[in-house]
Amino acid sequence: MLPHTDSARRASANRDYAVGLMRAFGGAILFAFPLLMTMEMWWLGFYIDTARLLLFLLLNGAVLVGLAYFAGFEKTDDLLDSAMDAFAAYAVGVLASTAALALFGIIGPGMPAAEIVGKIAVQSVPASIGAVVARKQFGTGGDDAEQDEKERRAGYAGQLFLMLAGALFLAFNVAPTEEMMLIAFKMTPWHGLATVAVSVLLLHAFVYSVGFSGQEGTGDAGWLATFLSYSLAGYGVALLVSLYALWTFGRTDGADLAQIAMMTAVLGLPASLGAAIARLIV
Amino acid sequence: MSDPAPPDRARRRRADLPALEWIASAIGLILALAITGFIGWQAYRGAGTGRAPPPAIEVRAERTVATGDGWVIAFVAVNRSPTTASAVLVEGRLSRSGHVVASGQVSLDYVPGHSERRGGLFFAEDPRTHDLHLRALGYAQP
Repeated sequence: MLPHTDSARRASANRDYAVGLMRAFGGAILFAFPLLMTMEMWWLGFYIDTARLLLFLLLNGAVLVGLAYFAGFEKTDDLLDSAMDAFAAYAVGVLASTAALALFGIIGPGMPAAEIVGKIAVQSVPASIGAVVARKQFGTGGDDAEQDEKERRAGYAGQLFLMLAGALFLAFNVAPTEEMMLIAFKMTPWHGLATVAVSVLLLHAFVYSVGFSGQEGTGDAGWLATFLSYSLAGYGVALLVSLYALWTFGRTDGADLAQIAMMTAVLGLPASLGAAIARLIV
Repeated sequence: MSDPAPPDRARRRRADLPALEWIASAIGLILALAITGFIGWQAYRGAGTGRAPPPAIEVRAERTVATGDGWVIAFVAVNRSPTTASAVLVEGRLSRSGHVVASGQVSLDYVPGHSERRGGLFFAEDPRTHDLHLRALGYAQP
């Protein structure tokens, strides 16, 4: 191969990657904006239990690698490539969060390092998820066939993973706020039961209308099979994610079991919506 | 048809990765290690994990300024412990010859661990001609 064509190809690959990075920045800002402007998120940065925050960051890393595989901001083929994209998305998430927090005067010189790092670490989670799924949001969207092929290969576990990522993202958008507890205080057990029913019905309506890949094969199995294997399983995932998010933000500490159940049901509503629309976003 | 790529093809693809991709992911790796390392070190030291000592808040007057109809004392509340305190109530008392003349209170939303937060108290009397006493009355765990 001639040297100049080789270097031209490399330059074009770098340019393509730079465009991908810009999209990732756009995704990070778009997805993280509501949380960047939420005061509970700033406070979490300094009062969240550090061990739980650490666990949350590690889990976020695993979710990023998975999302990079299915829908990264550029094409990925193997684990190394997905991991590299996940790290690049994390870099974008951290830089975007830092820039936005500094712009709002939430972090600045003179603050202790622990406070600044904590605030950035909490915000880097939604921002990096936004960065990694940016291709689907801003891209040309010409690779749907390739993505479908990947999802088919990943099978049912892959679908569950996508639902988990969607649930985590949407639950995370509301879980830090005081309103989660307030709503739970205001609700009677009947409201709680109604919330559970509405969550499952909404999730099923989305699954049915949006469609999950692999569902084509089970189309003959009928309504009940789809309901059990996607809607009900998805709601289970949403509830677990909700409970995990509440625990991470310290909402379950010292709370009565009934209160925890109610908060989980409340957070389960946005979480199941997130699980249902995961395929739209990713 | 869905077989993994042959090893030589995968290796060639890897060599073809744009330089920018290596740089971006290296920065991400460094940032991820730096943040988890820093927070892990904090966790190891026991900050914010319930094993740390309770908040220790010290309040000091920074300056006194005359306003239109009185005076304002600008203070700084310093948390000497790694544990964050919320709803910190700060009280200021003016006394002359052991007799309390005036007192005022203000509540600070948060005083994070090893951090400072600022506030002010208004008085109708001139604080410079009185004995000023500032202290934190209490806090709530966030």
